[in-house]
Amino acid sequence: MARSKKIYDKQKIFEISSRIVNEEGVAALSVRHLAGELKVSSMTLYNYVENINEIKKEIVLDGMNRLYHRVYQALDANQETVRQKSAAELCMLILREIYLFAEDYQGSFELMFGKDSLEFRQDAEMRPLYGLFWKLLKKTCPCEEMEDDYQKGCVLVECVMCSLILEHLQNKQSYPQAAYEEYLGFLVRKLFG
Amino acid sequence: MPRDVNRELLELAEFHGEELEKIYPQWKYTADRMGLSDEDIAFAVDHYIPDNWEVQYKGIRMMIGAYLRETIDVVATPKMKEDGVKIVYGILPAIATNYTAIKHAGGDKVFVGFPDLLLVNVMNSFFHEAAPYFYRAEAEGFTYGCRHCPLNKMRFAAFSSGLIAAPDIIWSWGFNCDEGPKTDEMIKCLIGQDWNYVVSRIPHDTEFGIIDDEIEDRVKYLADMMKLGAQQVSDAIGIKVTDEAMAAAVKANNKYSFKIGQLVNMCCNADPAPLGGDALTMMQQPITLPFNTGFKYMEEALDVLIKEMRAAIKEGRGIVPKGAPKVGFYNVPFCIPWVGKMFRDNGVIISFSHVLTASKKQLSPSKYEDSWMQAAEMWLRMSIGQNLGSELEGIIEKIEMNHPDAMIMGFFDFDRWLGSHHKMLAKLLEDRMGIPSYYIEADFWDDRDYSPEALRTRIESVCQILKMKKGIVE
Repeated sequence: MARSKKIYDKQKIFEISSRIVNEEGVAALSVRHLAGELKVSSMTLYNYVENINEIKKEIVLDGMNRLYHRVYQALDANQETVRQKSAAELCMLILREIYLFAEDYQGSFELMFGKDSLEFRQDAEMRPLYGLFWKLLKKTCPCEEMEDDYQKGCVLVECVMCSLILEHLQNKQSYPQAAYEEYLGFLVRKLFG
Repeated sequence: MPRDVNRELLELAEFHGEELEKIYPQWKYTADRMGLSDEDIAFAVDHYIPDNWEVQYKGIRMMIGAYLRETIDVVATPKMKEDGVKIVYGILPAIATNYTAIKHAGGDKVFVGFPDLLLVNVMNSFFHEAAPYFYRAEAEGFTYGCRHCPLNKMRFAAFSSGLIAAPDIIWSWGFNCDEGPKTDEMIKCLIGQDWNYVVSRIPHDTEFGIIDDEIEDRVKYLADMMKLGAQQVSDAIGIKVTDEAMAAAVKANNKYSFKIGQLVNMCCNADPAPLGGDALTMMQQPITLPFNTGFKYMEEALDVLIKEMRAAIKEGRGIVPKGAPKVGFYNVPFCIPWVGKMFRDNGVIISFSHVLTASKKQLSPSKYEDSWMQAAEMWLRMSIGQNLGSELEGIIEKIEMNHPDAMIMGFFDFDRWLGSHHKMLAKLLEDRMGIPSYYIEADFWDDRDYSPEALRTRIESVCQILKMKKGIVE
């Protein structure tokens, strides 16, 4: 029979999932836990979402959106930096916003840039949302011959950024904001300075 | 005095004076048959149409009028049939030339149209009310979660509710959809009515680098398929589709295509953009959606709109601020017009639909004298008649002509190969051109299952990236 009425809209499922991930951690996200929060059976939940990966994908998309919003606001508030088109300055500005985002949305960040991200980076919808550094820094490249170096530099910055933040969030190694910026500042100056 | 929302709608759609009085009862009957209440129409007049369509332009209002006229005709098919009019339907992609040729041959003795597409289009684009038809089809057996094409659901519901007449013949094309014939078989079994059916196909067997329309044998094959199909239609309805009728259809199509090409190019290259891609795509649609009323009313709207756009561009008027990023779509989901609005609300304008925008080649003269060969060549120059490689080259040409900041693929996740086709195109385009190409998983016709917030998340992300990039570039 056709479903004529929805018990919950998908958005509610995604919102509760996001709360679980960011308050209790990625490991706490399961269909059973989510169904309990929504007060429905696991099977009912599967009427609305295909599997747990669909939920994770939505959390990542939502996280990307929040992150981009933050970076956009920061760029808007720092027009002078944007006008100067200094790759190093822009890079540091973006890195700062990502760190602050990760502190606010730890679970989302882990999904976006942790081991799950390998799968998301292959997804047709998500793939174009990754690689923010190169997307934004490409136009700051002084000449076409240096584009390849800049692109590699962007990949390195993103790898180191992810590594430092994830270690910090998972309490493996503490990187307060100042230390994080010091390490990455060193790398960014070497690459784009 | 109570509101007469039907009259308000028709006035909005540029019906006035005697014409308004004449069409008013016909529209009232149509709205009633389609299940549109006064509340639904008031919502459309007060909110849905002005929020989503650029009704400040007379050409857009006339375009809405042309779609309403066509809807009146579609809903009148049961009466037409009683009066002896022959009914011919098409199924996606019902490239207009063949149906226009039938109309040229038969005049008022024949109705041609593509009712399911028109009904989904009108009901969702202007009223946001196609859902009751989808629910009806599902209540009678279509599976909810199975991602059937909603066009088939609409066709089923429109037949089972008696909204449209059973045709004398359906002429279907296996270019995009292989589900149409099977659905029709099911409808016939369930409803107990019978009709003739002709399916014309092209082989879809060429590889990257092979350009179908440049191979005469392939053009000839398609031309012969068209003749064969037209012969079967003639046998079913007793109206011969002559060479002259086909020649007239090709001429009408070329004229409309040329004008719409002008409009799209003008709007896509203007800054600020004076018109969105939704409206442009709706104007382009008669190329793949045959109207029983032909190109007449759409062309009148188009002529007015072209003049209005010239004036707007000259005066620097736009619907988004100057410098706003532009995105091209594989095919703008005009049946879900709030998607375009979401982009506009985020400071980005949808500029064009690849599928319906003519390439330079499409607008260039045919090398053939024979009108069937001309029509076949025209089909093979269209993106839906091409292989992935040729289509990619076509998209690249259109990107170079229309200068979008990014391309958006998707909105066809239901349609088997078309879903993967979009994903591949997004990647190929990014590799070849370096233009950001995004893929959004959603349905072109049916927004019941959308989470508007989830879609907003995707659209906002794309818009923010584009605005950031644009900010740094400039």
